Formats: sequence, C-alpha cells, structure tokens
Amino acid sequence: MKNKSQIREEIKQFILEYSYLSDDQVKNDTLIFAQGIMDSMGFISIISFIEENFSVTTLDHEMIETNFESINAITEFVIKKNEL
Amino acid sequence: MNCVDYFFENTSEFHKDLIIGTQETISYKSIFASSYLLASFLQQKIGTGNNILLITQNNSFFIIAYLGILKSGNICIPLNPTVEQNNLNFIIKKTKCKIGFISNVVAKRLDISIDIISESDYLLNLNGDILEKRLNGDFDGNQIAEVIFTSGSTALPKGVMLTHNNIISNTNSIIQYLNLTENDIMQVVLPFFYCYGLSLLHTHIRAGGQLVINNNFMFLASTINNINKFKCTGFAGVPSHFQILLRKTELFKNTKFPSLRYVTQAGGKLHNAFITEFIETFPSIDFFVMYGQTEATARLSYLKPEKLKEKLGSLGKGIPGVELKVINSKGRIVDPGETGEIIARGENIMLGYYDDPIETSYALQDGWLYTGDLGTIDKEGYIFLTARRKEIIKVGGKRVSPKEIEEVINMIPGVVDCSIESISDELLGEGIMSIIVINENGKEITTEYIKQFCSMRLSAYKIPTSIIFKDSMELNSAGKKIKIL
Repeated sequence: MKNKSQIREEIKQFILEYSYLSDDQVKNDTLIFAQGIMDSMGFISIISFIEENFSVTTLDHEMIETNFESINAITEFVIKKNEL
Repeated sequence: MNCVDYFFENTSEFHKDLIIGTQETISYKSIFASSYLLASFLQQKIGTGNNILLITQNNSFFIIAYLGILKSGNICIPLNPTVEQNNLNFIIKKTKCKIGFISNVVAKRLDISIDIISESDYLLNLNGDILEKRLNGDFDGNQIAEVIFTSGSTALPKGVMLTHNNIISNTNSIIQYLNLTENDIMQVVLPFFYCYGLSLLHTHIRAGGQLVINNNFMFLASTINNINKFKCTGFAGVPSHFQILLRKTELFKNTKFPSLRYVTQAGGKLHNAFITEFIETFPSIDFFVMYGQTEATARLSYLKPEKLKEKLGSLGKGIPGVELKVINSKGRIVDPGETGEIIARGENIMLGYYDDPIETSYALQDGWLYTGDLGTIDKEGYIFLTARRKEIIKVGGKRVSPKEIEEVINMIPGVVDCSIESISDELLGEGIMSIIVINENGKEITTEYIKQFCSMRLSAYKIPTSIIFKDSMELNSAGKKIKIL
C-alpha cells in the first residue's frame, strides 16, 4: 500500500501532465476545477487514473466536487476508499 | 437599442441574485452597476468599435466583462478557455485585437501578445462615475455586438458577426416560447463562449430569472443534486449531457425533481431512444427539442413538448419571428418526404462572417441563411433533420446518413453513445466506422452482435464495417462529439 505522500505525488504528476502546467502553478490545495485547470474530460481522466493506479472505484453519489476539488481532496478520497 | 439596455430594462434595480450556486453569489444590482461602470471606463480608455477578447470560464468575471464590452459599443470576442495557441494567434491577427479580458489561468498557459485585463484587476479602476450622456446616447442596434468563432474541425474557424438587434430578437423569441419569467432558475452547464450558453444568460437577465453556474457537469451527483438544492426550474443540455445523465448514472433516473418545469436540448440531434427514455421517466417535465446555429444567434426552431410523442425526431417549426423552409437543389420548396437544405430568415440571422465575404455569400443569399443542414418537412410543416451536408458518407456512391445508423445502434441496451464516421475504403471510396461506448450492462456486446443487430434494421451498405469500443466519446468543450472529418 502506497503512503499518503506517494499517492499525493502521483496524483499531482497526473494533473500536471494533463494540464500542461508546471509544478509551481498547481499547489496541493489549488482548486483545480474552480480555477479551470481541469475540465469535465479531465474529471473523467482522474476517475480512470485513480481506478487504474489505486483500485478506487468512484460511485455515483461520490461524484461531487468536494471529493475532487484539489490534489489534497483527491488524495483524501483515495485513502478513505482504500480504508473501506 | 443596445442589447445590454434591453436585458436590464426591467431588472436593473432587482435586489435579488442573478448568479447563485456553490461558486459565487452576485446580485442583479451589483452586476448592472459593475457592467455599466466598466462600459464607461472602456469608452474613456479605448473608445468604441474595438474588438475585445474575452477568455474565461463561466463566472461573474465573464458576465461583467461581456456586458461591459457590449454596453460600451465595443465588440466582444468570447473564446474557449482551452483555445489552442495557433487558433488564438489566428484570431488575434484576423480581428486586430489589442486588448482582452483573460483569466489568469489562461494567461499563464498561453503566450498572449495583447494587453490583458484579468479577474484580479478588472474592477480596480471602476470607481468613477458612469458617463451617462455617452452611455445613453443614440445607439444603432445594427452595430456588431460580438463575433463568435465557430469550431471548424476541418478548416480555420469562422467568425460569426452578431448585432445587438440579432441578440434582442432571438432573446425575445426564446423567452416567449419557453414562457420564461422571473421565477425561473436555470442550472447552466453550457459555456458562455458558446451561443447556446449565451442564450441562457441573455434570456434570464431579461426575464429576471436566476442562474446556477456549474462548470463541471461531470460531477454528476453535484449536477443532479443542484437541481433540487437550488430549486431549478430549467436545465439546458446538448445530446451528450442527456445521454450521460440517462445512461451513466442510476442516480438521475431515481431522483425526483419537483421544481423542474422543463429541459431544453439543442446542439445536435439527440436520438429518439433517449428522448423516449427521458419523457417516460419524467412525464411531468416538459422536454423542448430545439435547433439552431451560431449564425442565427442561437435558436431557429423548437418542437412543442405536447407534440413531442407525435412528431418524435422532428426539430419542430420556426420560433417566433423565424421563417424556415426546406428547399431542393433547384431552389424550390421540397415536397413532403423529399430531402433538401434547411434555410432560415429572421432578425436573428447574422450579419455575416468576419472579414470573409466569400463564405458569407455562400451562407447568406437573398436574405436567407443557408444552414448546410439537410432535412425533410411533413404535411403539417414539421421539419426533420436528416444529416449535416458535410457529414454525409458516400458508400459506393450511395448517400448514407450517420444519424440513421447511430439511431439504430443507440437502441441496443447497454450502449451509452455511438458515433458514426467515415473511413477510407479501397473499394467503396468511403466506408463506415462506428465508435461505441457501452456501460456495465453492455459488457457482452461484441462487434458481431452490433452487425447482426444493424442487419435487421438497415440496408447492407449501411452496416458499419469497422467497430471500435471506447470508454468515452471525445467531446469538445461545448459538449459536441469530435468528429473525424
């Protein structure tokens, strides 16, 4: 099982690759959707990414902004799902 | 009349909020004051008649900048925040833009050669008085209000020039047939840089309604919950939105929406299977099928909900103030059942394409807009879209409508979405490729099954020769499927 900082780093790298932004432009608490860094297609990509890399399946009712609004939020969501 | 004056004619003093939702809340009065101050500022600094870029996602920055630009007598060019560098360079060069309202995120991503006003500083200089005289002087409604560049998958984008009168006319018509009032609350998932999204902004300010801004439709649980949370009376979507809501989640169909009075669907043909599924699931919600183009400001036709079952598959009749005809290659009105091109006339029809007299002369002839869409018309005057002229696939010389095949494949349980595209074929010139998205219930579907299913419903030459399964359909930012043309 990967630890929290590894999970966070992998998610961050994925978002940087998707958005073509550099490391200093996206912080862990940056609101990636509210600021337009990620879009709807980006959201679908995140869902697939966490499923493939962390075996996390996102259920219908979990598709809410608070679970995905930032790198920190996604990290917490992945950890919470793995604990279940 | 300036269209911004028209929007706020009855609503400028409203204390209620125009924008509500989880992102931000802002009142009519505040948006009105900021927009008019910005207009006054722009007039003082740069005058009138200049092209001004606007690039940001849906938010109060977009709305105030948009209204401020239009009110000042300048011309707004709204662009997709994901615009590619090449297209941006092309548009700046073509329109000779020198200034743009551009969000920080976009400005960081792109190399922009013009002056930028961002969301951090656009309100900073607006502490002066509104120059009442200049703002309220005579205004010619035939002036260009905005240039909207249409996404050209095959060629360079074309700039559709819309006047203040175009916008006023289309807004009036839409309010009339949707019966919009100040009690209406719309959840906006469509971008404002797209004509369908802009029409929501225009109509709701004029009617005194409210907008719930949701820039992330794909947070499906939030999107669905917002409807009840904010007591939305309306939802507007393109086909993909309805397909995803109906087939990608059980939550939508299992939720009751007591406040939702109506939904509208435009931006392409939604297959009958989905419309039927929607109206059977939600019999008390009015479903408005609509049709339009950027070249017509937004809207050209609608089908009355009470006629939906009887005329399923039709895009309806012209909206108030718009005349629609279907004509054949000789320019004569088609007989019932005969296919021809849909043409339109009305005060909402564009002035032309920006700096493009040749394309304009193809699209506008004798006061009619040639839509490039093919359709039939029945005895009662209801128009049925059969294909876009350029989307027709010629298989062995025979014309094939992708829509017809998509309709059949979408009937298969487990299929979420289907897109038919042309591929090169050694023998036939063009062949048919089908890209199919399936859900959990469609895991057993094979290419053989698809072909077999089609063979029972279509002529042999219409059966796809190539079938590809994908996890999701590629959409452009307006929600339309990206076609490989």
